[in-house]
Amino acid sequence: MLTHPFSLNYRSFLPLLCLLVLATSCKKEFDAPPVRDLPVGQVLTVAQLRALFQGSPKHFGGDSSFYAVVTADEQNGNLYRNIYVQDHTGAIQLRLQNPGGLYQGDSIRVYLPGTVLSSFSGMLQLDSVDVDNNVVKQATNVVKLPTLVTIPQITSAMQGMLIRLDSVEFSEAQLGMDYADAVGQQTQNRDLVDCAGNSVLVRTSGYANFAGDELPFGRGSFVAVVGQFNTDMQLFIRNVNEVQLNGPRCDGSVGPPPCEYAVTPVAGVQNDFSDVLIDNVDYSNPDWVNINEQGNRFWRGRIFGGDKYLRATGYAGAGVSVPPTESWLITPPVQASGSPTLSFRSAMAFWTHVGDDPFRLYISTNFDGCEIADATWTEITGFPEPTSSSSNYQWVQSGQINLGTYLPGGFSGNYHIGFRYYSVGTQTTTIDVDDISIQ
Amino acid sequence: MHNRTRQGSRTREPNPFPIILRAAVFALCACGLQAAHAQTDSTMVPALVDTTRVGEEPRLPVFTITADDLDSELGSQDIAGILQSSRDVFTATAGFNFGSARFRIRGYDSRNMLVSINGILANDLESGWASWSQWGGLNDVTRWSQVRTGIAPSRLNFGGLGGYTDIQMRAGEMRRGVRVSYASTNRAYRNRIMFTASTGMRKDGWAFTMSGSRRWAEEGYVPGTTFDAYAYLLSAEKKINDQHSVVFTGLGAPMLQGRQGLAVQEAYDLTGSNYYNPNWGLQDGVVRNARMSFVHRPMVMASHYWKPDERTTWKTTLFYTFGRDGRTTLQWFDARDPRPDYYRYLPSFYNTTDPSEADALTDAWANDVNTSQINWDQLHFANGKNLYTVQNADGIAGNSVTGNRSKYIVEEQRADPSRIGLNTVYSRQLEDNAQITYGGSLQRQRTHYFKTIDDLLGGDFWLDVDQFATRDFNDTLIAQNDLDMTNKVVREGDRFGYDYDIHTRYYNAFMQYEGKWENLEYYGGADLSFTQFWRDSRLRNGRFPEESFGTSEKQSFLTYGVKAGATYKISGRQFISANAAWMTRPPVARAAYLSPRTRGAVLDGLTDESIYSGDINYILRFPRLKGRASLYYTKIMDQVWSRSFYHDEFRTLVNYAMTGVDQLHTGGELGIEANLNSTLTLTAVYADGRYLYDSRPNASITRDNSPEVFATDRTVYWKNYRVGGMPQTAASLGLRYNSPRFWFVGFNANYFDNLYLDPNPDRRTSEAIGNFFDSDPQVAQLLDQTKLDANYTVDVFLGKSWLVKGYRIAVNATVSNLLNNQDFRIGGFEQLRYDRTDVDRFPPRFSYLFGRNYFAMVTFSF
Repeated sequence: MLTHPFSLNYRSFLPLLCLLVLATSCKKEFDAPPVRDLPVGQVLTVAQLRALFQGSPKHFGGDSSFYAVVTADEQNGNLYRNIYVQDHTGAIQLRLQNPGGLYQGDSIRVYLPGTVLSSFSGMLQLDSVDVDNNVVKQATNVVKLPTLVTIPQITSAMQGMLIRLDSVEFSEAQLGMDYADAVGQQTQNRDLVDCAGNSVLVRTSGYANFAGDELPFGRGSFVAVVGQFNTDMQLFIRNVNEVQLNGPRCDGSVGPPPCEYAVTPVAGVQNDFSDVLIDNVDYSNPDWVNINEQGNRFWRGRIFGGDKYLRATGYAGAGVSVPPTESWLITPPVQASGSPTLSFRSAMAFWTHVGDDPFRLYISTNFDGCEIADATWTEITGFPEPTSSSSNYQWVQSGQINLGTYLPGGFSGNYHIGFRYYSVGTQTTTIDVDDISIQ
Repeated sequence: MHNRTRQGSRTREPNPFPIILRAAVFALCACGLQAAHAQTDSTMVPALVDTTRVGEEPRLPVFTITADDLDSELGSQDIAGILQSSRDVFTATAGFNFGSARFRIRGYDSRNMLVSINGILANDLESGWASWSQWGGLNDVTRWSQVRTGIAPSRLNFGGLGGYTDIQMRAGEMRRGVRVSYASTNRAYRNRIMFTASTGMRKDGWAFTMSGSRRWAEEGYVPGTTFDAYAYLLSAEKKINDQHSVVFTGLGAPMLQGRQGLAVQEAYDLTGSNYYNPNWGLQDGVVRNARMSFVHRPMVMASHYWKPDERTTWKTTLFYTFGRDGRTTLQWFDARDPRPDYYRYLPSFYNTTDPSEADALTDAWANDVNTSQINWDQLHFANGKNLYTVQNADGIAGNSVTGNRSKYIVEEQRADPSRIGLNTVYSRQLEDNAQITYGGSLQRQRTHYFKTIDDLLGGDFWLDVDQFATRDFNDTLIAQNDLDMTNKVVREGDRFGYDYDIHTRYYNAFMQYEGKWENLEYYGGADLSFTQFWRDSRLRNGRFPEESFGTSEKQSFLTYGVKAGATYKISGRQFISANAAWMTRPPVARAAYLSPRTRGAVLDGLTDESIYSGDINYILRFPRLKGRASLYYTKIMDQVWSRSFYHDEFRTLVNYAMTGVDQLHTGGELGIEANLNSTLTLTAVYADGRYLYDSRPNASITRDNSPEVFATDRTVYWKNYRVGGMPQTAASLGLRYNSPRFWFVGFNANYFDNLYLDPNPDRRTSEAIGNFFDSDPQVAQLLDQTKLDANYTVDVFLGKSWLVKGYRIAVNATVSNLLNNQDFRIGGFEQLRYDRTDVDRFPPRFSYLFGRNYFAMVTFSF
């Protein structure tokens, strides 16, 4: 139909056609650079390497290498720019110029030129190891079993070795502590002891991914690498799963059952206790904690005139003196965000308390869901609540309580609100709470 | 730039100087207005932004108006024609002479300038930016554009805050002939050849235009920047009858470019060049740039032009654009940072702790290319011996893969757009010369974000896990980028990391009425738009197993705009005009997500932006003196801002999101062109603006690789900090001699002042100040905004043309920055990463104006 779309000469368009052809091949490939090799040179054992240290730093020059297997790496954050390697003759710590790149089980050849053999506070180390330039990997996932030793056997001669201790436990005085200060990211020492009373330090970085874990209670086996700081021998955990202190302690005691609390943090709380089904039965809600810290009474669900709410009381009959009763109702973990506010209503009946309060309100940022006593509780005050002069069963609205003033500035973790009821002797005032809301 | 014949200068005009005086007074008023806004926010004084995530932002459209365009529009006599910006000396000068210093008219970013091709909006729906590179190299065709700045009547669309540019690509309206040109330059590229042929409207009712070009350089002005770009266009128009014409156009511009990276001043000083580029290095002796971009987004469109009668036009265009937009970058895992200008590799890192190491590094930076640039051979060497076994590879239990795991790779980050749109505009002339215009458009865009392995650099594979997550959590699943195929082993060409689409929908309708009285023309318009966007991800990652996968919540916004303006004719030579607009618009989809690569969560408090704006203009159109003086005021409210960067306090990658970002732009513009005699033309242009942040935004900081919220409701004390990235003051004085013998020569002297870097928001918070006392030096270091020095440049240009037997040959050349000023900082950014006790540890990165550079072209046309 259109045999001559252009009245111009066709040749005019040749340059354009050339362009189109050229446009199809735009990217160019780069040549891979020629392969460079690290020479092997003289081969040393780790023991021979260690023997080269004569009191002053040794800078390596000419070609030499040694072969070893990585026994501890940086993956769990406990070691940083520090790894441990071992062969059949001994072990040594490598200090890396840059973090990363070597993993437990790597069988490596370390090419020595550029590295420095030196001692740091009694610990022999091979410093300035550049993984990119000093290390050639030979194989992966090589298993090096830890050497079984006892605490007294851990001496300078064991420096850098991967060891296992059986039948050890953390010192009684430190139970309840964490491995290190994960919040402040501070490195800390703990004492590991055997039943004979020998002890050795366990040193853990605040950056370790288990730093915030609580020390295990029991006694058992423990795998670590050996370090030294002046005269102190130190153990570094390479994998927290290799700390198996599960058995009874030397004194025969067994630990409390582990806390199993896995309630998903919530953004806010709304509870009018409409889930109370039967009047005067202990309140049960999987997301809420209802504990008797003392005595045997819990917060109970009540249904009255269609209204559902919770009640705590120590009352056991007119004039009956009761043992101390402490009942806690604790909210699910709430994710802190902005300036949250809490509101609820409460009422009292038959006030008999003298001096002490039957009801106190607390907030905690470290409640584990099990042990009230282990958590830090800050009391919340200054909101309207029933007093001895209130009318029985007369609801008092708390109003909006600003929780922001009780939380650390910029806090973004989880917190719990605790409603604590306490009675003792004949001080058995009844307390009701309802309509708990956190926004 | 071509010869330009002067006309109308023979009749004697009244003395123009009183008018200049009046214009000067106007300008003074503009300055006074700004002074009223000069107080700063509390203790804060002001500075640009880390581009960790958001790519480089295109500047104001590169003006391609030439003297040709100005000529072509002479003869149009109505006021609307007079206001046409391509005839406006201010806009033309700003485009020509200020562009290299990143001047932006009224301080508006590209999002505020609507760009359309044959009426179809070309601004990307997701970013709002118009990407001129999409049709780069088609200058012969795209220079036929209609440009208006500021709020203005438009028979194409509602227009942007900063105006609009409409590129006409209609084969039937292209001048018949062939044009071939060659240009030599030393800027981004070195050579350009361009070819364009148009048939004009043929007797059979068909018209065709073809154009193509290549622009290339082994190395541009900046070391390590390669350039290779092609462009092609084919347009055919068929005039069916006097009422109907259809136009089919297809175009594209594949462009491969090695990019420039901005460096800290220390690196410039060490290498002795302000054009030091950290992006390249030697691989086997050959220069290789780590940051390449390869972009090719072809566009096809079909337009229908309908003239039911003499008074009515109805234009409808259907278009589709697609293609690739890829940018490469280095990536590494469990290894040293391979970038040569990482702060720990600079001598300053050791100045106090280890002076001998600092000296050694200073020497290496000056003399060892493998220190000052990327050492590609070393990266290959390290990768080639990093034996690694991936257990349970590709999610298959017991499947182990052993090989050299790359520690360093080059990855290509892709953002491939595809967009389809339909646009229709009906315009009719009513009685009394009034004009009514209705229009609407439907657009859908999908941008596919993913990355691929471009080069394993000598290794055998890459393991697809997140580096930060492996460090921060004691759970190997968390680090997985794809929970449905854990421990994924990827090789060259494979996708990894993230893979999601951002979908955008945009539907709008507008109308405009233009009325004309004897001495007054006025218009009013209104627009209603619906915008919707959402994220749809193909991968489920370990950090956000719920939020990372599938379709996220759809964000919908119904927005509107109204505008009005009037021009009063004082005489046939003097006009006063005023324009005003009030509008709302949706937040930019690209900034709305906290971290779209990891999850679908949007910023808290995402809301419409609202804008009010107005200007007053005084316009002169004497035959020997033309000019305009304007004052403007624009307030933009409730913008959002989001970036990701490494936060030193929290020691991890964070998403930093702000809402309630307000901006206030005020200022004045003055442009005068005087014909001193029939051959000499003097131009004087002055722009003085004050572009401020005008609120205290609310910031939240979220961990990039977990739902942990580090901070909310953090107040950013940003009020009265200057908006960074462009000179807020610019002036130009030019003189041009036009010989009647078809040659011309001229120069421009340009002056720039009040350039700032955009302020890093987190440094302007009470958390950053913490417990420093006012007397502590850190307070001023944290708060002071980085101001760049005022500078000036001189440009010269010349040209000549000949007519030989019906062939026209033209030669012209421009030399910019004639005085070779290599110390002119034109931009950069304050690093978002900062150390509050040692602010200089992460100093700003700067970019410099090119030194002396030229563009010379010879054109052959017939």
